[in-house]
Amino acid sequence: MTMDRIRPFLSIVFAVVILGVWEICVRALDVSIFILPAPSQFFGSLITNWHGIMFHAEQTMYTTVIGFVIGVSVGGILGVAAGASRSVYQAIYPALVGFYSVPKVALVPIFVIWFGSGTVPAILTSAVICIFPVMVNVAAGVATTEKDLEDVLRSLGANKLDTLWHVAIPRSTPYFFASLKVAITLSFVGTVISETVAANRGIGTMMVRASADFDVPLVFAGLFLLAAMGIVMYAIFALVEGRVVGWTKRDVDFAT
Amino acid sequence: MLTQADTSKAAVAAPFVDFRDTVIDYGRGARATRAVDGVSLAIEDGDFVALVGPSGCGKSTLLKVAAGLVPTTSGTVAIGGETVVKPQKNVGMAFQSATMLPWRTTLRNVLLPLQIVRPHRARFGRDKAQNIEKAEALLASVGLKGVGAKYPWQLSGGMQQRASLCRALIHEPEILLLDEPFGALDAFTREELWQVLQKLWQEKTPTVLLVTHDLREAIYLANRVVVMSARPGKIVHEERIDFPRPRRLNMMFSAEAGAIMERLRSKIDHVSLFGEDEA
Repeated sequence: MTMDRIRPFLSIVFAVVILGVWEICVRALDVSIFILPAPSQFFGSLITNWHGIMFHAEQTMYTTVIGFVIGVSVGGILGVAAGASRSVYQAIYPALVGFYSVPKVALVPIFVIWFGSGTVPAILTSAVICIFPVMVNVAAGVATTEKDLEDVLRSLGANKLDTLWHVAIPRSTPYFFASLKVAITLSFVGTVISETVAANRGIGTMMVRASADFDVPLVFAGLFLLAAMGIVMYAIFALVEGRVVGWTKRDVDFAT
Repeated sequence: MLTQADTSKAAVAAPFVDFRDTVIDYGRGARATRAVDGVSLAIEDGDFVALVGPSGCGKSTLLKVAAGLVPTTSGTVAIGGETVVKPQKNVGMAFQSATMLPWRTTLRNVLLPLQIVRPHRARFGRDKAQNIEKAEALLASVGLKGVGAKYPWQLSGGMQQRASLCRALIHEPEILLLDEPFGALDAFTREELWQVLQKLWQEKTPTVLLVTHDLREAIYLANRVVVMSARPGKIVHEERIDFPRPRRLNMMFSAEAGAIMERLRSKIDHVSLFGEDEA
C-alpha cells in the first residue's frame, strides 16, 4: 500500500524485470547461445553443473575472504597511521598511489613466480586491491577529527594514543564501513583476475575453461554467481554497518 | 554575604591561579600576532571569575594557556603554585559547542574523563559501578535524570550543554575553565543553565574561570568580572560582584546590578572604540 512497505522489494522487482527483458529479447531476436545465452539457459547450466560450480565457488569465496581480511587490516592500519601523522602521510602516500596505479593483473605473474600458482596469488591479489580504498577512507576519518574534541581530550591530559583510541578511531568507523563495501567487491575482482591467469580451481578458472569449450551458458553462470556472492557480502557489511555506526544517521532505531 | 566557598578557602595565602605578565603570540617571527599582552591576574581558590571583552581579545587564549593547551610567549601561569607547562589533571573544560562524542551515550560521554585522567583511568574498569553511579547522580543534579542512555544527538542543545558541564566535573577538577559555554543557547535556556552552573559551583566549589560575551551572565555568575581590551588583550577594568548567593534571576533587575552593568558596558565601549590607552 504505502511506498515504505514496497521499497525493500524494489531491488528484487528490478532484477526480475532486467532478467525478464533479457530473456524476451534473446528469444525474440533469436540470439545464438554462443553469443548471449538467455537467463533460463544459464540458470539451467547453473543447476545442472551445481556440484562442479560449487567446487570452484568455494575456492573463490575462501580466497576472497582471506584476501579481503588481510587487505582491510593492512589498509586500516596504514589509514590510521597516515591520518594520525602528517609525516607518515607524506612519506607513504605517493608510494601507495604509484603502487595502486599498477594494474593488479600485472602483479599476478610475479606472485606466481614467488608462491606458485593457485591459492596464494589469488589471496594476495585480492588483498592488494582493497588496501588502498580502505586506507584512504580511514585516513580521511582520522585526519578530520574536530579541534574542539581534541582540546577536550588534551585538556584532560590525554596523549596522542588516547585521542586516537577514544576519538579518531571511533569517528573514522563510518568511513571504514563505507570503504569495506567498496573493498569487498574489489576483492572479488582481484581473486578472479588471479584465477583466470594462474589457477586450477576457482570461478575465474572455471570461466576461462568454459569459454575455451564454448560453454557460454556456464561462463554466464559463473558471472551470475560472482554477482550473487558480491551482493551477499555487501549486504552482510551493510547490516553490520547499521548495527555499529547507526549513530551517524542519527537513527532512532539505533538508539533504542 | 560570603558563600561557603569563600569562607572555607579564603585562608590560602598564595593565589590558586596566577597569571603573571602573561604574553601570548600566535605565529612566529615577523608574522606573529600578539593575542594577549601582559596579563596579570590572581584568582583565589574556589573563586568565580568572569573574563569579558570584545571578540578576539584573547580571553579564550588565556583559558587555553591555563589549561596547558597553548604555551605562553613570556610571563607565566601557575596553578596551585606550579607553573603550567602541559595539560593538568585537575582541570575541567567546557566549550561553546557541547563537543559530545556522538557514538557514545550521554552517560558514557560523561564518563570519558575518568577513562583518561590519572589516576582514575587505571581504576576505570574496577570502579565501573561506582563511576556510573557518580555520573548518574551528576546528571540528575543538572536535571538530566534518566537520559544517560540517550545519545547526545537525541538531546536539545541545552541538555547537551548540561551534559557537557557534567563531563567537565566528573573527575572532580579543582578548576573549571568555561569558554562561552552558553553562547549558542537561546536566552531562556541560557538563564536556566546559569542557575545550574551556580548550583554546581556552590556544591563542588571548584575555581571557575568563565569566558563570556554576555555581561548579564558575568554579573549573575561571577564574584569578579574582569574586562579585557581589544587585541592585543590587556586587563583594563575589574568589578567585584557581591550579591548574596544563591543569586536569583530577578537580582539582575536591581539598580545595583544595573549600575555595574553600565560601568562594564562603558569600559567595553571604550576599549573597542579607542584602544586600551584610553581606558
